[in-house]
Amino acid sequence: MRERLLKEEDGFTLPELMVTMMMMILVMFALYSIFDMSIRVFSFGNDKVEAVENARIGLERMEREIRAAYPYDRTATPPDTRLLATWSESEITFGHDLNRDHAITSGEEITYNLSGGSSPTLLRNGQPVIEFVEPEGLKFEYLRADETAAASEAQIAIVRVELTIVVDDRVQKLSTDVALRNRSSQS
Amino acid sequence: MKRLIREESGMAMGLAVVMIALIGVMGAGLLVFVRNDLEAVVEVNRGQKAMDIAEAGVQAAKRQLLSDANRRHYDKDFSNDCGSAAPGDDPRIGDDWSPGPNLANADCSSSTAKTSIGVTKNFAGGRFTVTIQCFDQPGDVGDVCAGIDESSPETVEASNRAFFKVTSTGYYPADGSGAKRRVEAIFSTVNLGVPKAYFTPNNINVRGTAEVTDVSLFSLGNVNLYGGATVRGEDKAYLNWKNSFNPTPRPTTAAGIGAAGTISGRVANRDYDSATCPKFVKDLAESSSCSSPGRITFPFDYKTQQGQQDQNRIDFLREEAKTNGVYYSSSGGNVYVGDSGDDVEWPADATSNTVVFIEYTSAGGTNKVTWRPGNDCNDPPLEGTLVVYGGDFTLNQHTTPFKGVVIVRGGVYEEGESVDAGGNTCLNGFVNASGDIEIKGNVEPLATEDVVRRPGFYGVRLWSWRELYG
Repeated sequence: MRERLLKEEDGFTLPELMVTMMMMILVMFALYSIFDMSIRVFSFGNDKVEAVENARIGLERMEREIRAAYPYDRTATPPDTRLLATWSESEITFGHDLNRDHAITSGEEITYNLSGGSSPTLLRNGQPVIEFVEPEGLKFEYLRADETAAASEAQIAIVRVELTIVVDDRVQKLSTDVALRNRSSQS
Repeated sequence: MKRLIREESGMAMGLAVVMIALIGVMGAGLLVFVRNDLEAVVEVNRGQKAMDIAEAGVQAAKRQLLSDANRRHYDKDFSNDCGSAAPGDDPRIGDDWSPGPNLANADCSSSTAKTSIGVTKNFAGGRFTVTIQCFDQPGDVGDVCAGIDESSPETVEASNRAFFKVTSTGYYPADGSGAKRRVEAIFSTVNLGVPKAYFTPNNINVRGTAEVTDVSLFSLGNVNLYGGATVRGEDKAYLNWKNSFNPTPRPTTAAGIGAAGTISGRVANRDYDSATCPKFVKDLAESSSCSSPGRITFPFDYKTQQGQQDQNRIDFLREEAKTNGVYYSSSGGNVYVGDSGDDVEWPADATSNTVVFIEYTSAGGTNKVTWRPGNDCNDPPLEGTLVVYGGDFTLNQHTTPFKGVVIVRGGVYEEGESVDAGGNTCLNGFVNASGDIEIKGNVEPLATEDVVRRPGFYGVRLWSWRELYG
C-alpha cells in the first residue's frame, strides 16, 4: 500500500476535485445557513423568553407593592385615608409605611409609569424595571369591589394592571387584578 | 478504507445519525426556552400560592380572635394563658398563638419550650406559621401585654377596642424549599352594638314580684309591668342612654324601659315609649310631634338582632359551639339543661367564653328548653352564652343561677314558672329573644367588660395590612 502510494500518482482528476470542492462549498453554505438560522432562532427565543420573564417578575413586584398601598396619614384629624395619590390610566402613585409611623412620608412613595420614546421602559420611581414595553403598553384600570368602574379614589378597591411587551414585533400581554388590602381596613 | 471507497452501504445510516444529532441539538435549544419560561411561571405561581397560604394564616388568626380576644393570651408570659380571678380573664381557648417561646403546662406552674412560636398548620400543599401579638394600650392596669414593648397604633383603651398584630408566613411547598411570603396584619376588635340589656322585637312582660336591677328593658313592641314588679338601680351598660346610636340623653342614669310601642306602669323621665316626649322611636327619621328633642331611641344597634346580621351571628355561635363540642340538636319537645342525667349538662369547665347551642331541627309549638341545674340560687353561677334556636326557653325557679347571655330565636323567653317567682330565679346577664320575654324572677346585668370579650358580641376588623420582605 505504502509502495503503491509512493510510486503512483493516480488519484482524482482535476474535474473530479473541482466538482467535489463545489459540492463541498454548497454543502458548507447550506450548513452555514442552517447554523445561522439556528443562532437567530435561539437569540430571538432567548430574548423573548427573557423579556417575558422580566415582565412577569416586574409585574409581580408591582402587584405586591400596589396590594399593600397604605393610607396617606392615619394620624391626621380627620385621617387622610387616600391609598393612591395618582391614579391615572398610565401612572399610579401610592405609599408604603416603611417607618411605621402610620403615615406616608418622604421616601415612602412609589410611582409606576412609562418612560417616553418608541420603546419605552416601565419605571419605578424613575428607575427602569421592565424593558421592551409597547408604547402606551402600561394601563391601569380602577375598579370598585364589584368590579365596576370607580368614580373616586375612595371607591377604588381593585387595580387592574395591563402590561404589553413587544420583542421583535411579537406582542405579549400580561394583566392582573390587585385588591387593595388596606381599603377594607377603613370601612 | 477500500471498501468505503468502493461501496456506498452504510452511508444512509451515517447521514441519518448526523440528521438526528442536528435535530436533537435544535430540539434541545427549544427545550431550553420552554424550560426557562416554565421555570419563571412556576416561580411566580409558587409565590402566589405562598401568598395565598400566608393569607389563609391571617384568616385563621382572625377566626381565633373572634373566639378569644383576651389580650393576655397573646403576650410573652405563658402563665397568663391560664386565666386569673379577674372578671373575664378566662383561660386561653385553643392553641397558643402567642409570640412567646414557652408553652404553659397543664397545671400552669411551669412551661415547655415551643418548637416554633405561634401556630403552624399545613394548608393546600403548603404551610403557614402564624403569631398573634397584643399591644400595650392606654389604661392598662399593670403589664397586661407582658413582654411586649409596642404600643397600639391608636391611643384607645382596650375596653373600647383591643388591637392585635398577626404575622403570618406562608410556604409553598410545605417543606420550605420553594417560595415564602410574609404578611403582617393589624386587627382591632369592634363593638357590634349587640344589646347589653333585655331586648325583643316583640313584647316584654314583667310579673309578680320580679325585680329587674341595674339593667334596662327594650322592646320594639310593648312593655308591661304587672303587680309588684319593679325596675330599679342604675343602667350600668348605657347610663343615660346617650351614645353614638342615640343622641338624646335621659335626665337620669337609672335602669329604665324603652319601647317603640307602649309601656304600662311607666315611670316619667326614666321610661320612654311612643306616647312620651321625647318619643321613643326605632328610627330617628320617624316623625314626632314633640318639641326638641323630639326623639329618643335604642342605645345600641337593634338591627344587629334582625335579618342577615343576626343570622350571621347565630351561625358564628353555632360554629363556635360545634368547635367546642357543646352543640346539641333535638327533633322537638322538651330539652332539659341541668345536672348529669339531663339532656344537656352544662360544661364543668365553662367560662364566660363558652357557647352552648341547642337547636331544634323541626318547628313545633312544644319545643322548649328548660334550665334546671342545682336547686339553689345562691350556688356559684354557671357561665357562658346559651343559644336556643327554634324553640322557647324557660329559666326555672330554685336553680343554680346562670351568669351570661341567653339568646332565643324562634320562641319566647320565660323566667320562672309562676307569677310569684320573684326572688327565686336568678339570671345574672342579658337576654335577647325573637319572641316575647316573660320575667317573673330577679334579674341583674353582667359587667360591661365581661360582655365586650364574649364571642358573638364583638367583631374583628382589619386595621392595616402589609407584606413583609426579607
